[in-house]
Amino acid sequence: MIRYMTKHYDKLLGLLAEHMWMSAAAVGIAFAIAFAAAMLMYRRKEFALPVNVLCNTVYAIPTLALFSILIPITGLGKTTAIVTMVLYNQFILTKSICSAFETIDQSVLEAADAIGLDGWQTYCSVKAPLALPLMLNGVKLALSSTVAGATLAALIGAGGLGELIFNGLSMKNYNQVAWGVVLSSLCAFAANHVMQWMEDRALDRIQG
Amino acid sequence: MPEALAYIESHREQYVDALLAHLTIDAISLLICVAVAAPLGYLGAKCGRLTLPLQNVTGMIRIIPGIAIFLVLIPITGLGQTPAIIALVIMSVPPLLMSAIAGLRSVAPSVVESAAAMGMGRLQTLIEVELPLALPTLLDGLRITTVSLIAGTTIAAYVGAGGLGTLIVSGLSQNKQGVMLAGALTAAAIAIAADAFIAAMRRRALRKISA
Amino acid sequence: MAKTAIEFIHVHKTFPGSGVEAAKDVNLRIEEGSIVTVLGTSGSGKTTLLKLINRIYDCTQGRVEYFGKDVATLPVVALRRQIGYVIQQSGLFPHWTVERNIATLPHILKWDKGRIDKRVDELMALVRLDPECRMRSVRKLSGGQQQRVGLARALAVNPSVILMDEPFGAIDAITREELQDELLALQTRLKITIVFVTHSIREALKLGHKIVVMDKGEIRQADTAYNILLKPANEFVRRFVSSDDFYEALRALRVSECMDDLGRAGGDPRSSAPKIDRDATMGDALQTLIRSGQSRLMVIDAEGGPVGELTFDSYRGVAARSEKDCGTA
Repeated sequence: MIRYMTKHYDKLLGLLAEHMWMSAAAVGIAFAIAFAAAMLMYRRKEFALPVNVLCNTVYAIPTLALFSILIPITGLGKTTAIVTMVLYNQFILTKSICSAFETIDQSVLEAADAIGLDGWQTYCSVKAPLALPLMLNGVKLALSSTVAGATLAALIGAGGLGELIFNGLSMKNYNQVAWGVVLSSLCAFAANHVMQWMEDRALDRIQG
Repeated sequence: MPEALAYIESHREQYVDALLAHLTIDAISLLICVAVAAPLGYLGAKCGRLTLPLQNVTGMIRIIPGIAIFLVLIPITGLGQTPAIIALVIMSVPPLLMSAIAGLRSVAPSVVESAAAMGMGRLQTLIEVELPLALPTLLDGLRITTVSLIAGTTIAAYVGAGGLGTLIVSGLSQNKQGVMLAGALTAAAIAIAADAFIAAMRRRALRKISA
Repeated sequence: MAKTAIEFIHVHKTFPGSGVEAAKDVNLRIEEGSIVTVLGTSGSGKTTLLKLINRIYDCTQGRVEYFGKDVATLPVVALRRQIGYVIQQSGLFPHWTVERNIATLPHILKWDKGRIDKRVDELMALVRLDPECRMRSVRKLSGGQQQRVGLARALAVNPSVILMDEPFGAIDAITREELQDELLALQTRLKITIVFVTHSIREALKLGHKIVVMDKGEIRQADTAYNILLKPANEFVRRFVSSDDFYEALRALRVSECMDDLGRAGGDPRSSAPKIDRDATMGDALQTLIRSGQSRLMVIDAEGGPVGELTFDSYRGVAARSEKDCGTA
């Protein structure tokens, strides 16, 4: 196995990089959309239930199935993979963002109002920091599952570490498969740890 | 869509086989998950010292990509339905276990103490008092587990377990969208249905204790 | 002498992992049909004592006897079904109605529906619960109502003993007084043995036929309110119950404990001497005495028969025994 690595390490690194940026892009876009959706649900309560049900339904669909359903629309390749991941992450992210803002203690907001902070100041110095830990928690969960899901993306031609696994399976090159498994797991753990660290820092900042 | 239906019409037997295989694997895995999570969950909830180690282990399992778990097991268990079931159980027990522990712990200790002090036996307390109160949380976990199982089973096609995943895979590789969509849409449908069903059960359980 | 309901014999209890003894050589006899209040601060061991009776905890050393039998030898479930248990948080089953909660044990014992219904009727009347809340979920009740349900539940199968762990601790002061008075009335009627844990000195003195003062696992004094207040056994007890406070004593002591025997004036129920009930507090009696403008009260029992008399001299006796730091001679 070590020999495989030394021989192909540029390929391994390439796929690893591809995997990571694909996941990061998916989570980034997903967050932007989820944030907008969450704000919408916050302002207009009547949207809360339908958006929730929609995200929930999409989340229930198996990854592979969702890939397949989108292929007639977006074709094979990275686009489909990223779109799928973005759709998936809506569930976790909208829930996290909503609850992050909802669990802010009302009395703190009242105090900010009473002191004379305007909307934007309240947002930057009070709401955002207080909401950050829960939002980061959501991003952590989204990133973990995205990294895991991206391993399947290779099946629809999107590249990433999954290629090592599935190519290796069909060519019976088990070293390759092993590296795919190891690297994708490491990637998932690393992403989780980094996000956990960020979440802890954000929590310290408001509890310290 | 129409191609999917065409496929189902013409290859009904294979379709039904795949569907049944999928459902069977799911059902068996679910039963085993519950059988494992129930006693462990009870122990984890009652014995404070177990909670943290259990949380750590399950947390780790959740991070590992599903396909990785499948593949790690192959050298040991070979291909086929059985290794798929084992891998699925390993993947899906964590959320169920965690919700079992959380649910049981959410029952106020004073309620459990009263039950014991009145002379209700442990089993009786569990069935009549703790379970109804923990049910909403338990069903939440069941929901996640079921959906994760159905999803995992689609991937199980790669380790030779059959199921709707095979339709998806062969459709992909042969570029036959009809076959692929037949598998995908059916899998999606079962998952959504199961999710909605358990969600409804959860709302009922919640109403019963909040009425 | 009345039967012994519960007896602690050289009981010690240490919790595993803790160096401290939660109960240290406890010896206590609880008479059947009496209310015994166990008084102390947090950590004094009073709740431990209670839980040693229904075996939520087991003794490290010594034994607890229930009507003469060592509780350790009795099957736990059977024992607990004979002992009622009421706690501060009520411990009511939140997913059941009032009726179902009260009928917990009858259901377990498989009584038939008619019998259960009748018993629930009786109990709700006994604890003064509005019959219209019978089918309501217990979550919707106020704290006071919840405690009444808890009490009804404990009384359901006619236990010989009821254990109560600060049951009125979370209730507002007005409701608490009501519940205390009702508990006293109930106990007088049913003659149940009650062991009542509290950290409220006033509550302990008001309710207890015998008060057990505990500190750090030891019993410092176990005696009547009169003795605890006026003859404290040690400095701890004296300070804890503010024995020196004359007015506190007046609030706590009953006329029956401090009255004198009927004097030369005799006990003619038709006499025009002002009357006072034997269960009234000395404080109330003092008010009656002063307002009457006379120098003597006739103490009567529930049927109106004379049982003693009360004069200003009776009060001097009480004052003399309290320390003289009020400045009154």
